[in-house]
Amino acid sequence: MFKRLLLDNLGGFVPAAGFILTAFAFLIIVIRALVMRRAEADRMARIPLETEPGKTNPPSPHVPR
Amino acid sequence: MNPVQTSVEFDDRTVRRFLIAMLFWGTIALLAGVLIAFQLHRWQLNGKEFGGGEGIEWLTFGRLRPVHTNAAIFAFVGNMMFAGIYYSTQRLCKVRMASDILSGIHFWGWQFIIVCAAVTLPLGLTRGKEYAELIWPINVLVAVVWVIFGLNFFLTLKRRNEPSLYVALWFYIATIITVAMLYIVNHLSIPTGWTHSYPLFGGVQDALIQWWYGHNAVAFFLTTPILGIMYYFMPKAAERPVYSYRLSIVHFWSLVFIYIWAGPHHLLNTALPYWLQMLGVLFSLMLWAPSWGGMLNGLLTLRGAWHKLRTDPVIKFFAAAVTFYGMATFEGPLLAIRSVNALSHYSDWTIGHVHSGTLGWNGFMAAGMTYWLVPRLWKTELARPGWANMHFWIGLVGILMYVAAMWISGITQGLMLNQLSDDGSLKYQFLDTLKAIRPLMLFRAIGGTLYLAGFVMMVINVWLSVRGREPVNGSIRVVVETPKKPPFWKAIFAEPVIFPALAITGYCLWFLLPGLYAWGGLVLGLDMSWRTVWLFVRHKRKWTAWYEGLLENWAPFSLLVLVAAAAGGMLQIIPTLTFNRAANVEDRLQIVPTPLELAGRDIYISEGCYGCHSQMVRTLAPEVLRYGDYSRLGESIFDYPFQWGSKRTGPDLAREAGKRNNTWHYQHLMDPRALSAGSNMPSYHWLDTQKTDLASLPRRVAVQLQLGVPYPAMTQDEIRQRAIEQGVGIAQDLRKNGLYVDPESRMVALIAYLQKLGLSEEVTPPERPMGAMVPITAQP
Repeated sequence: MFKRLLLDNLGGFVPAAGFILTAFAFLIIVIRALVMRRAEADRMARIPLETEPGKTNPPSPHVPR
Repeated sequence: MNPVQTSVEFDDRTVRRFLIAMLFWGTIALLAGVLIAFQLHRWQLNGKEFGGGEGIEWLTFGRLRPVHTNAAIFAFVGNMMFAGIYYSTQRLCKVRMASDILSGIHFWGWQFIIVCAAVTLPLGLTRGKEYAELIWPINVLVAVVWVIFGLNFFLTLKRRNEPSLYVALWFYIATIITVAMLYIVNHLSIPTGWTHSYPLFGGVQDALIQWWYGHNAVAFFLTTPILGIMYYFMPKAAERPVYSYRLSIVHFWSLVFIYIWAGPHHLLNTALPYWLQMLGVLFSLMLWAPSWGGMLNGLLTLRGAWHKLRTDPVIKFFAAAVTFYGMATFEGPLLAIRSVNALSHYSDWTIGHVHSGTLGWNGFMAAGMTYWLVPRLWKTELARPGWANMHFWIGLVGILMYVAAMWISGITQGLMLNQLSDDGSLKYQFLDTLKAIRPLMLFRAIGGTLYLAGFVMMVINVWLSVRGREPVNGSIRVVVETPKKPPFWKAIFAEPVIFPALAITGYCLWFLLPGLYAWGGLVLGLDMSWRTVWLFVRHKRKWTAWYEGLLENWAPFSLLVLVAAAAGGMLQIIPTLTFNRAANVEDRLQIVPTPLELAGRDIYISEGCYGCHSQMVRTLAPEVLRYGDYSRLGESIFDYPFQWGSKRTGPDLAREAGKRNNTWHYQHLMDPRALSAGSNMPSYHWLDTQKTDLASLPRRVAVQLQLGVPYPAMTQDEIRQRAIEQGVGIAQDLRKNGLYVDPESRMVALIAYLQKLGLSEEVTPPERPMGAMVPITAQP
């Protein structure tokens, strides 16, 4: 069963490489999320609560960066 | 540009339509589920007890199971998801849906698809791949309607009056893009007629692609859209913002990156290459983190609103749903650990896991959303708030009964199947294990009935609430300010994309190319990695601005999601398609089925036999003792579609050929209990009188040839003649035992197929240049 295919010999390498790549992407995301300004995070979190019927919704202010 | 104040009226008619459709199809899906659950305990419910002779073919478990699964996923959760997406997208974008016409086509198109599925599946018209059973003309319809939905959604994003994209919209984007990708790849087929086709991939390739699709159908159809709904409706219900927006960002990206890799955990200990199994295990375990991060974020959103739990059914359903999400996503990675999977796979434990997710997470989110939406969409009060509470408790007890029964059943059967006597032989026959779990099958069915009862209470409650009421469309006044967005190309061809992409390309070349070229790839990878870091340090502000801009620019954001979701799948699928082909097989190669055996396999698929019987002896000692030598990859390489199965209500059939004679198979198919006392398999007596479709055989063989199955050259007449001759041979054999069977009957074709299962030939491929090959020991 495909005994001599190089690929099958990479049982250890491919998961490790996949893990490293994903861990790297994950790390970047975590850093990006952590450095997000508190005011901006709060504003984003409140978006679902903005559209109450009969209420005029102002344009969303962008927090100065 | 000066801001302009304007009034927006939302298209809530489409929301109401999808909501009502969800209630209708949800009832049907649950009814079908309850019926087949009772059938497992009492097979006579296949119609025998309603005066249908030995049973009615379109009421058998094999045909109704795909009706239940497809209805639950695409009709129930699908309609629920669309209702939630249409409602929340308009409000999060502060704009009406882009096109009422597209919304209408989407709604009616989706319902038409469901009706087509409800008619064709009981008739036995199926592709034979789990959750991808619908025949090819319906597949085309699904793709078209999905594109229309996506177009309407993205046009709405384009016209939005809210510059930022709230995280729920991210989840919807991931759903639309990834489901399209998964659905199209797994449904690639070559038609043999209007109602039949063969998939483009066979054997191990088909297995990998099927479970890449199947696993991610759960991820991107049953999870991500519902998470989007959670991130919108839970803050609304609790009247509090989401607990941590930062955590929601981490939740989203890690789910999109990780989920797509985990498909191979459905094929552990099988003939799937070992490196793919390891990838599946590793990424499944990694899923624990984002899933629980999301669950905690959902539950903590209710902080300060816990007192509502006692009185508000909406909060009650949401809190329980998110808890079930956490439980199911804890159990999933647990079941993906290879040693646990050795016991749980092919057993009821997996069924319990799936249902704790669907009934608990999807079903309770649907209920919470419905109870929240109905008063707003019809401007009314809930007619029977007490019923909603009762629905919650009945549903909860139902789910707990269901999953507890399935846990006990799965573990009991798994342990019994592995148990050895003092002399080293297997202690229990398969049938003994089935008899042991039959009472648990009844408990499961009762649990399902309770859940159905709660759901019906909700349907009645909604009807009592909205009858005589005028539907109301929501509206808001909004100040519109056209934001400046960087053009699409500028967001894509930016430093943060180009340099990491070049680095990854370099590493891929290092991995794939031989000799010096590989070193060139490594140099490119290292150089670009260094430049990426250097540029990031130097242009930190610019990179930050690029990222912030991306979160407001839906087109490049969607492209990024596509890349993230596609990467994992492609890295698994492309090597498998390239290397794991019949031409590379060493060891054993499947013997090509004869035309009659091919017809028999199509009947096997049409009757849904794969729902209860696997064709894969796993690399586990008790399985080898029970069924014979473990299955090699080449032994199913010509199976379009693959038949490894996912559940064993009956024994494995991978090595069925020659184990029993034709008479045994005939009698067993006519009356399973005559030979296997205590079996819950229905009778397939109609196969005895129905004729095999010999006329279409030449076309079917021609498509098999196109797919690469090495049939010998035959004319159309020869194909039919060979099928008839083989059928006559089987009929004559049966006649010796006093059984008079039409040689052209479907029964004879199916027996021919069963007598073929597991036949292979030893092969030794030609020597290969050893520079590229490394000898390794046989798997596992």
